[in-house]
Amino acid sequence: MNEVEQLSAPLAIVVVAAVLVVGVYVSSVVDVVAFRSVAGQRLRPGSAALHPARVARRLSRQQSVRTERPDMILRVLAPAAFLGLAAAAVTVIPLSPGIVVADVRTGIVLFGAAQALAIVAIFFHGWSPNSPFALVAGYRFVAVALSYELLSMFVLIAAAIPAESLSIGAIVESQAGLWNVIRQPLGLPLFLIVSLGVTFSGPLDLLDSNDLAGGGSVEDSGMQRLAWQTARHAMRIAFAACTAAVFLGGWHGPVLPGGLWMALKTFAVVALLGFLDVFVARISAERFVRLAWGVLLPFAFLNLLIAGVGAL
Amino acid sequence: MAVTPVEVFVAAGSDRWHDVQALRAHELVRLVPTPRHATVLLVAGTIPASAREALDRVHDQLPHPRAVATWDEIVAGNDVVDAVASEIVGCAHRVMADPSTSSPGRLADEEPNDWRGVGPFGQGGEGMMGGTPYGRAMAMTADDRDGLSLDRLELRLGPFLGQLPGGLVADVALQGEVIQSIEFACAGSKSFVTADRAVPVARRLLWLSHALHVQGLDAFAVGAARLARRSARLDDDPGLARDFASLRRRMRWTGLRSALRSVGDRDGRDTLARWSAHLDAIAASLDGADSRPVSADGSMPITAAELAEMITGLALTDAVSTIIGFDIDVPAMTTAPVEA
Repeated sequence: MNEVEQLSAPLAIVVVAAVLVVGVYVSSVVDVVAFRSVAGQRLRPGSAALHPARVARRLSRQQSVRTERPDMILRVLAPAAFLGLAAAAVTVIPLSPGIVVADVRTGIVLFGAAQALAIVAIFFHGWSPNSPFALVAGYRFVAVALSYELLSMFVLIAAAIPAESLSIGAIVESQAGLWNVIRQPLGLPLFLIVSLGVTFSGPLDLLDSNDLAGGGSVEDSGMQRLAWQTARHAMRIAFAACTAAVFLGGWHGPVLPGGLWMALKTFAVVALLGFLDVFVARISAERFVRLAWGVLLPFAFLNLLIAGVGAL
Repeated sequence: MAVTPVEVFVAAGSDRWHDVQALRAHELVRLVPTPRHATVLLVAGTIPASAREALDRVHDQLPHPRAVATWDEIVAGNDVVDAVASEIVGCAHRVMADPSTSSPGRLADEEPNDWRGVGPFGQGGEGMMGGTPYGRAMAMTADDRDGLSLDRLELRLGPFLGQLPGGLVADVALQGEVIQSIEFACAGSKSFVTADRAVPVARRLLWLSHALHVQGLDAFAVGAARLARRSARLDDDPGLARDFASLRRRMRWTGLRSALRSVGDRDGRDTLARWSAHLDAIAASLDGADSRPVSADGSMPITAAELAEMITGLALTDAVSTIIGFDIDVPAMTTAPVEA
């Protein structure tokens, strides 16, 4: 096993900030490229690359409207907590062989905890503006989140079985010969569904959705909107990096340096999530709950069984 | 020069609502679902006196700096959509360059109603719940359709709600996301909200554009709006049928069928069947290489009361899909009742 290099606190903060800033920007560009590609609009590379910067500039100059009788503490806390949880999730994911911000032996558990607490932050976002559609969207999201949370738990535990460890670094090491996407073929698609749920994208766009006039973000403007969108992209980066590490072999790959492989795989997952967001229609919360409990959860059990049998 | 699209919220009267959907095809404009996201408010069509206050409220919800453009005041050349988009972009640039020109509030910056001062917490309900503090209904527990006691929230939807046809107004009671009761504002309970009428294929494509937007497929909505613009411009566009077929093929991979199947069943037809009938009608018309009027969804006309009964008990998202699936004729619904 590689010697793990624990980063100093100041360096760790710089690394996490850099990963999130670059990741959020790239994820935003991916959204533009995905939308324009599917819509059949002209794709100008320079325009797409500058789009997030232009949007950020415009929103920073726009008024952040205060709604009637909001819960101001939670209104501020929601995007901050969502972003903070994404940052916490990134800390336990190894960036390259032996380099991880926080070498926690129970990294999978910490990642799962951040994911579970994200539900609270997202509900706060719906609750806090004191607005009917935002509130309905918040409740609806929680109803759906409870269903995909179970999927996530079983899928991540299954990935930990071959590694005989809850450390994400150890899970990457265990894929030196065979990646988990081959060893546990159900794991990747199930975890992608969880990723779509936490980032309320594509078929699980049940929070900030058009059918509720913008849902949880119906009252967002200016910096409030910018902060929420930033946090959402940060969470997408955290899940993409986790997917790359847990299912796609992390830093393993020929020729290129391990860190570059990790970055390329993370980018590929970000691109996939971005295209699924644009390309797949939203399904109702009730249908997803039925699907999750009736079909996806049994698949998660089967995935766990496959992992267990493989470990014998 | 590459720029980011200007975000626009549309407040459209029922007579102009389909027309404004064509703006989705324009690269410099992006229609947003809430006024909070918009820089420009586009007012289009006839706004009845009963909707003026709602329009003012929508206007005041736009964050500063904001501007207002009026569709019917824009002098159009050959292409009205291009002219409107240019005006919107110009308005946005002017107000962003000089925020002091931002459109001032139309309503007084005060609570819409006085604090009621009733009940232990003053909101006019019971305990900590219910009532209408400052004029906004607060949820209050009530028995639901399954005999459970859940928070009941009463709301008025419309007339400028992005996901519903322009001008449509409905009073709805929600428990969770489930509609417990709904009543449409119309000329009479027997007013038909849709009919087997003939409309131009361009209008049908604009309906498709909005319907795709509501289902979360905004990129596909752009494609449908572009086809609608081509259809309106040229009577004989041989590539139109092929491009529509291509759009329809790609739509099959979006999971739309699963999202619409078994939603809003009536007389053995669900929302998916109604969508299919719309798409078949468009394809049939385009295959004829002209823009002849096409008939509507081919289903039996439905009255406002029947539609309300149909969607009571549905989740709000399925209710919206069902309403959109009917392609409601709002002017006919609100002004020309047809007694059965």
